[in-house]
Amino acid sequence: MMHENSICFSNINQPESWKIENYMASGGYLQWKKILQGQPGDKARQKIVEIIKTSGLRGRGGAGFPTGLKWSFMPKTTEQKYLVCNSDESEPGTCHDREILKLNPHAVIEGMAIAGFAMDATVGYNYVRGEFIKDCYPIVEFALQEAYTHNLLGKNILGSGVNFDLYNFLGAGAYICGEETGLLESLEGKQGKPRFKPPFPAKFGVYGMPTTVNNTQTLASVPKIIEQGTEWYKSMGTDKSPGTNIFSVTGHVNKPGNYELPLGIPFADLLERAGGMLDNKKLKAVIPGGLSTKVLPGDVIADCTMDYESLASAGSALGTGAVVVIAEGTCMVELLKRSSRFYYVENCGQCTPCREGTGWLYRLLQKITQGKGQESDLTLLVDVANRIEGNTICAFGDAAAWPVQSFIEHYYSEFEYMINNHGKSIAA
Amino acid sequence: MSEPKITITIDDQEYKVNSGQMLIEATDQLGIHIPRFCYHEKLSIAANCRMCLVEVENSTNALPACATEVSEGMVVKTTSESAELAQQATMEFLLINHPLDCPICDQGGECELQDLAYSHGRNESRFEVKKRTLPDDNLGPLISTDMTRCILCTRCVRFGTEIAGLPELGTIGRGESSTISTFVEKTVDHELSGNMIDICPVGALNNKPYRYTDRTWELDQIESVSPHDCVGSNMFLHVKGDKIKRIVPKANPEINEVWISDRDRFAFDGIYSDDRLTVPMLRKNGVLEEATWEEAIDAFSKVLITLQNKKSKNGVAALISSSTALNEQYLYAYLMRSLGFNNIDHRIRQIDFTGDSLDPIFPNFDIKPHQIENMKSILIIGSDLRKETPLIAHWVKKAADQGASVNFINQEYSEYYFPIDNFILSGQEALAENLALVLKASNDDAVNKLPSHIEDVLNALPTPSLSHYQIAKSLANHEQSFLLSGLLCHSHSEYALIRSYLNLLSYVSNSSFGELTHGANATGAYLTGCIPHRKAFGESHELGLNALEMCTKNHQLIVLYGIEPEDCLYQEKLNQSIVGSQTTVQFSPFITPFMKENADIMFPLKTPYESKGAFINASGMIQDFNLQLDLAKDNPSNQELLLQIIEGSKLPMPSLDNLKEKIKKFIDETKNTHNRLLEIPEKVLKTTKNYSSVSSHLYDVDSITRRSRPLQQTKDALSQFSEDQ
Repeated sequence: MMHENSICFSNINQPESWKIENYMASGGYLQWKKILQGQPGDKARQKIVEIIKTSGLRGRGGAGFPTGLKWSFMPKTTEQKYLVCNSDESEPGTCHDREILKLNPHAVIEGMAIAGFAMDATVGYNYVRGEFIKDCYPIVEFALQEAYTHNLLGKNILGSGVNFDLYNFLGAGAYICGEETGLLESLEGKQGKPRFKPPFPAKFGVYGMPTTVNNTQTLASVPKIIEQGTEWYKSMGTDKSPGTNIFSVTGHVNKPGNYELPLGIPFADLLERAGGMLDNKKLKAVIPGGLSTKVLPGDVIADCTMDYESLASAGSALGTGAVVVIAEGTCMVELLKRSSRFYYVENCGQCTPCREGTGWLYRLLQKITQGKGQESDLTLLVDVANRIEGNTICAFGDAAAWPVQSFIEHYYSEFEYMINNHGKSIAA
Repeated sequence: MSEPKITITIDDQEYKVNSGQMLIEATDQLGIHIPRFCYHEKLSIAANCRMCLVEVENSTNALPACATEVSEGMVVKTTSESAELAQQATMEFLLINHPLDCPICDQGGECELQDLAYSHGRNESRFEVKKRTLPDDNLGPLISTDMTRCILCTRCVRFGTEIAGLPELGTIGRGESSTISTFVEKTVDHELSGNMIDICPVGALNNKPYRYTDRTWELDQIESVSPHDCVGSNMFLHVKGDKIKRIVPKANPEINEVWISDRDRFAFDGIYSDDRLTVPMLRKNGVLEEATWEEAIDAFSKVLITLQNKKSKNGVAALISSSTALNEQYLYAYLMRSLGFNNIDHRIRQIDFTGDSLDPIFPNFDIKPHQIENMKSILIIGSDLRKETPLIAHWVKKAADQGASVNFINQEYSEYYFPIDNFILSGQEALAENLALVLKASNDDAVNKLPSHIEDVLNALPTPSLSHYQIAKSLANHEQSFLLSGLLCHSHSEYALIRSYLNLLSYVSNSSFGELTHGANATGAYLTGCIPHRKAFGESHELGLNALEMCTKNHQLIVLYGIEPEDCLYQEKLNQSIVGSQTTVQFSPFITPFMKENADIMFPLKTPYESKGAFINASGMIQDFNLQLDLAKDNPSNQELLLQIIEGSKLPMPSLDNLKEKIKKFIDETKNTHNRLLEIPEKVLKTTKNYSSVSSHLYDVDSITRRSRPLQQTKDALSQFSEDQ
């Protein structure tokens, strides 16, 4: 039996799952209370970090960095430390953090409280995507008030001597603020321009103090992992990609949606869960981890399992787990043009390669779709992408380059056809 | 402080470098060039231009040398294929939207982008679509903008935030639509703003008055010293033929770092004013007419000789500008003294002379400007510091930014862009008392106690406030403490009393002491004897009239050297004295309607921009300037002119040999022997108090600045104009 909705989505089918009494009815906040009622000292902190390390939980923001290891980077000093939850979910195709925030906000709050305690960060910020202002943010705010009303946050929580204050912060709608240091700048009230690293946030984060930034799904997984134990967690997923992941399946499928499933499930199974291909069309390609991961042709992804290792060896990445399914008949040139426009519009403009290069990429693709392309433009496109990749302050440059490189690599003939036929698509 | 040396390998060669520094600092010291745009040694690291990318072993990506700290065993390749590829990529990206209008760009020839485009750029562009263009902002009369050329390195933004302390420019917009802008349309007004022109690596921010006048490679570069304040900022004059085209800073880490003030940069325009005097003038039959040099010198010499032989030698008043070069001051004082004329002074912005007998050999400034940065506690009294000496304000800001406690006692509040601990806003009449209260507070638990009769004076004062105590405590608690007296003190009606208090406070709190002076060479004026109470080298002498006394009398002869009545704090008095005196002689670069009306003999002077000489700054540092421009054919230099007058007056010719060396030796010998006078003389305490409001005007400090068109169009000058109305 496949584990479905075991962690972040475990309670979402209950009515009014976002309310604290319902969350508590299914065991919510028990772990937090246990920590507070135990001996909340350095030993307890160490234990939690060990549990997360042992569980093998990896960051769900896209890079898949081991969460426990990240937590252990926080200095053991007495200075003010911060925990930041990255709810600025804006990778195209990704929509699971929104669901968590809407349906299970208390898991995020409890996860943050536990993580904050584990790292001795007494202040937490939940940076919520600006566009969530209407449907998500009120719920998150409501939940936060509930948690305070139940004395689960604040100073000397439940008489334990533990402090943890949590604040929600609404972004202003910039993709780049999802980059952790861009997010920190934005949180400080500045323009969302990523910082050069090192120093990393664990050394120099919000207001220059040690900070850990974790993704919403990562933090929401924490209470369940502590409740059920690492063995249970590792019983799902693969060796190197344990646990579950929420896949946001979009594109040409019958039932697009969020599916929380163990990592390592075959792509075919995931596709089946999502209702199979729309109109029974043939699978052409898949962008497996959000727009910024490399596209994989249908026959390549067909042999993949949905985990970090399998997708990496196929030449792409699990990323945010946003699976964009593309059916036959889709024009890859148009799709790339649309993707490139995103990076052209959303780059912060701070460093040269993105600021100048992304516009160049977009305009070259525009030229091709307008039927004015030349064969040499394809070499130029790849060359420009190569010149952006790896040369920028943050990973945005790589994200802008990879789609171009992979689309042209796998679908060269489509681009060539369009150039030779004055903008006519082979797919049409 | 020597930091541990670590070994790194750069381009296959091992070097020992200091730990803790960025790679680019190490390579700069080693003379290995890594291209860069956004990096500037005086600004924070942005790492945004991506031009300094180099290959570092064990790193998958090329790393920016400006933001990569050196570490033991690091292996760097600055010219490897991957490093060059990364640098070429950046260059190509920077150029695609750059207008490449080098032929009409003022930056051409001295453009970092242009230089690196030759070494790292492609021969032809692969970018075929339309380039981005941007509208230009009007930043005021000093800085021109061509924002389409901007490469968004943000040096100007960081300059505003970090150096000026006033973020006038910022980046707005995102991605390709990012621009540098004031956001709300306004001019850039900070007194150091011109430095943004120098740090802009491209032609986006340029020198507005210089715009489209010349190509940089046609200019000669001459070292010089600013004649507009007592700091002595070093600068380069860029000259074509006989004309100064523009001025840029010359780095001097002890004086002006790598900056100059806008006044230093743009004031020279004044020397090209229409009312420039180029030929001597002589009043014949009641009309001031052009004369030959011989005629004018002859006429003046005759007057001098006649008066010399008369009994009332007090009938001669000799004023001289404190921005006159050392050699001229020396000759002028020699001329007057040798003829027996004792009324000689340069202090035309001072009104309280009761402390003259207590004057140090020359005004004290115990430390060099850059040492202000190391001070931990600073008390500034009576100074509109940013306007008086923008560079001293810069050093104070650096100290404050590093945590120094900066305190003010001032007549008026001006804005400072650094943290201030205590600002005691005091009326003119209470300035001295407020200082005395700090002294009183300091004396309470001082190691160096004051003599009891001075304590008696202090005991008569009210109880110091918390601010006074805090300032006193801060000065006492820090070994590196500094008292700075400003130009408003100098012009204060209780100047002598304030100075006495400062001396006492300096003793009690064991602080260094610095006094700002008017003009560029007040120190020189003291040392050459351009004061009524001393001869050259501090020799005492029969007392003459001071500047104020001279201006309140009519004379048989009044001589103005390098000054205009407008320079004088009591201009009205001086005007009356000129009108009432029998003969008026002016040495001046300019001719005003008033002087045309009233002068009997006028000699054209060369300004310090056009002549040779030396200034001694407030800290006693002697600095040469030497640019001998032909103002008009065959005009003698100021020095030659004075020598000819001395000769015409039948005086023995003085020797100028080694004058500078002698003065330097004298300064070195006397500087540190100076004892703080632990006295408040009776007459100083009992000064008649006649307070008048004095304020310092950034762009009205001398005849040249007043005539500089760009400076007179600045917000500072215009707001002064509206104030005066």
